[in-house]
Formats: sequence, C-alpha cells, structure tokens
Amino acid sequence: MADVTGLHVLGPSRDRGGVISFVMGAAHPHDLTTFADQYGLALRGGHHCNQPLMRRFGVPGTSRASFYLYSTREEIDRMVDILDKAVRFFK
Amino acid sequence: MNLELGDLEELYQDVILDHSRRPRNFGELSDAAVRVHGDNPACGDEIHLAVKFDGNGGLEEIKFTGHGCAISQASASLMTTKLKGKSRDEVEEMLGAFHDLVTSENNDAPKKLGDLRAMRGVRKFPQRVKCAMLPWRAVEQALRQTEGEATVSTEEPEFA
Repeated sequence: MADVTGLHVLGPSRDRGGVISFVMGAAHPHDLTTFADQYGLALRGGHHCNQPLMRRFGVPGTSRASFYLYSTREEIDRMVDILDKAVRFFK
Repeated sequence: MNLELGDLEELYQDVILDHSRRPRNFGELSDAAVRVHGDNPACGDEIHLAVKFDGNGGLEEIKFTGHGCAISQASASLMTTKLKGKSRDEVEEMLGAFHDLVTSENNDAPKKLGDLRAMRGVRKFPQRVKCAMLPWRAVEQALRQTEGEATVSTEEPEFA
C-alpha cells in the first residue's frame, strides 16, 4: 500500500494490527469507498465516530481496510490494484 | 463479481469532478441576507450557503463555502450557477426537478436542468442522495426566511 502513489498510510509501518487507515489526496473517503465498492472491495470511510482526532490530523476522514486470519495475499494484491485505479480515476 | 462500472462513470462525470475541484461561486458573501449551514454529520459534509435577495424575493446573489465529498461540493457548485438570478418560483421548481432527478429511477432528466443533469448518476447510489441534496435543502431553508441564520441537517427525519 505504501507503494501506491497518491496514497498516504497513517500510523506505524511495522508492529501494528490488521486495521490500516489511509487517505488519498485526490479523493474524499466517501468517494473512494463508493469507487472501491463497485469493484467488490469493502472499505470503511469517514471519521469513524472520531471527529476530534480527524480535526487534530487535519483530514476530512480516512478510509480503512481491515484484515484478519482469513485474508489472503491475493486479496491484498487486488486491493492495491483497485486503490491504484482509484488514484488515476480521481486525479 | 458483477461490476457495474458504467454506474461509476455516470456518477463521477467529468463535469462533476471539474466542479468539485474548481467550485464556482465559492466564497464569502459579506452582505448576505440569509446564511444557512448545511450539515451532514454522518459523512462530514458541510455547506455554508449565503444568499442575497432582489426586490421580489428572488436570488440576486448566492455563494457557498464548505468541504466534503465530490458529490456534495459539485452539487453546491452546480446549484449556485443554476440558481443565481432566479425567481423564488423558479428556484422551487428547480428544487423539485432536481430531487426527482437524483431519486427517481424513471426520470428523463428534463432539459431545463441543464448541467445539473450530470448529477443523475446519484440515483443508483441511495447512500449518496443526501450528499447531493444537502445544498438544495440549505437553499430551501434560505427561501423560508428573509434574514438571519439557520442550520439544516441530513439527520432530520424529513431530509432527502
């Protein structure tokens, strides 16, 4: 995900859980989640009931992908492809 | 997987992306008669609408500021270009026609809506109707009062 140009992953790059929040400069989180949804990718978008933190970081909200034991490498690769498409779509 | 990518292209038409990146009539209106704050707390969209009336109660000047998703910001921008200089009756007629455009499956997108017709893709995305309607509910509220400030919220039961 860190390799997708135009995508900014929030939080530490190592030693973290399976919940990854990120922002895309070209697209508001809700536009990005609508886009992803059409490709069958379920992201959560918005301020996650945490407006003060969003204000603190100066972002309108974030998009969030969640992984668990059943998530596969193929699914993650597909997600990265879709995020890459989104950057080009909204640029 | 059933990819409905045509829906995505229809939702985010070039004119929508253009208006969201370069909103028209964006800015403050120092001598506004009415200011309405449109709030979509679930999404975080905000529209601050300011209007000035002419002698007959029509919209002499209309500007907005705010932030949010491409749909809400493009909707506000397109709306202000369409409504500036319109009479009260024309604004109400346009409001009804626009609501129909973004909610009704069988809407034929009447010509009188002009560039607003680019918003018709919203009807395939029910969760985005509130984003599109936010600036219109704000202007509706502005017409209801002749001066002062007000707030409209997508969380009100009668919204959308």
